[in-house]
Amino acid sequence: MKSQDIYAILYLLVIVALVIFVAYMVITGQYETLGILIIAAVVVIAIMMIAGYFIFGAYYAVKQRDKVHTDSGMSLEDVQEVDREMEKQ
Amino acid sequence: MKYTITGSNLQFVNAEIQPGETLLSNAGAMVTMSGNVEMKSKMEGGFLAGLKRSLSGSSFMLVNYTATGGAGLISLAGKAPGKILDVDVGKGAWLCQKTAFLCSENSVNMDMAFQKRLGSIFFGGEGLILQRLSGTGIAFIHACGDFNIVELAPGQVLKVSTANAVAWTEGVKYDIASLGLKNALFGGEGLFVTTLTGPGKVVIQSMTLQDLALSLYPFMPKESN
Repeated sequence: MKSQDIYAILYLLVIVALVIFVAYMVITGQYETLGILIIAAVVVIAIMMIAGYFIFGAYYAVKQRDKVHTDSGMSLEDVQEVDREMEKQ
Repeated sequence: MKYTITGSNLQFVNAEIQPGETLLSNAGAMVTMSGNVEMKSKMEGGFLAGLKRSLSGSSFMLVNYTATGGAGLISLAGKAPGKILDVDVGKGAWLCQKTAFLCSENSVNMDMAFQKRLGSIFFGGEGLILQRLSGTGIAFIHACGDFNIVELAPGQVLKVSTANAVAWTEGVKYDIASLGLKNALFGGEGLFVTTLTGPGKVVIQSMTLQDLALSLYPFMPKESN
């Protein structure tokens, strides 16, 4: 089984688990708890994403500084524009 | 299969298929088809393959077109102003940005692929998931804007504004490089650019769908009080 298959199966399982959880909360009438959980999840995920973005951003900004690749010269001939109508004319 | 790509910035791919040949497309891509063409929506490759397709921005079901009684013509188009490009996957697999796949011969395999480097996932502009086209035959990819194709020699580097890389052959190394704080603040390209290192072909788009949306947004009608 490829990693893509595992990812797809995990994705499906998470979605199914979430649907079952929400359905259970709705059936048992726990709307308040469900609302609080959704808000808490959104806030926690947002904070984690923002923090992760800044931490990884700072790390890669230092680690992978841009440099000039002197062996990567190119000319106009190296670019092929994809425009068939213009080619025909 | 014979085909032409017509139009300039809102292109059609017109495919002529013979009886026994099958064309596969994303759901909703068909614009016209001749009367002898039969259209069937199928879960190509099974449920898991469909799920992977939908995770990679394509449709869960693919539409199969077959002709009966003679050649059939199908015209397909993308959903945004842009180009359509034919790629021969028999010469090597291609990796494409999410949603790039439009249609293909049925000998082409469309699968999900992952970006391998964490930095590229977060800051490369294409995210974690890509589309991988392999097998044999012709596949058609679509993206916003005009296209340039650059053939990179081994080790040759092309720096691309993030998210403007549409597709590249599998041998191309995809990474990011930081432009420094001053360029990030005043250069207009953000903190990172994508670096593509050869050997292989890369397809670059002049405008992303997000750029198009952002440039149109200020002119959208606003609700007045």
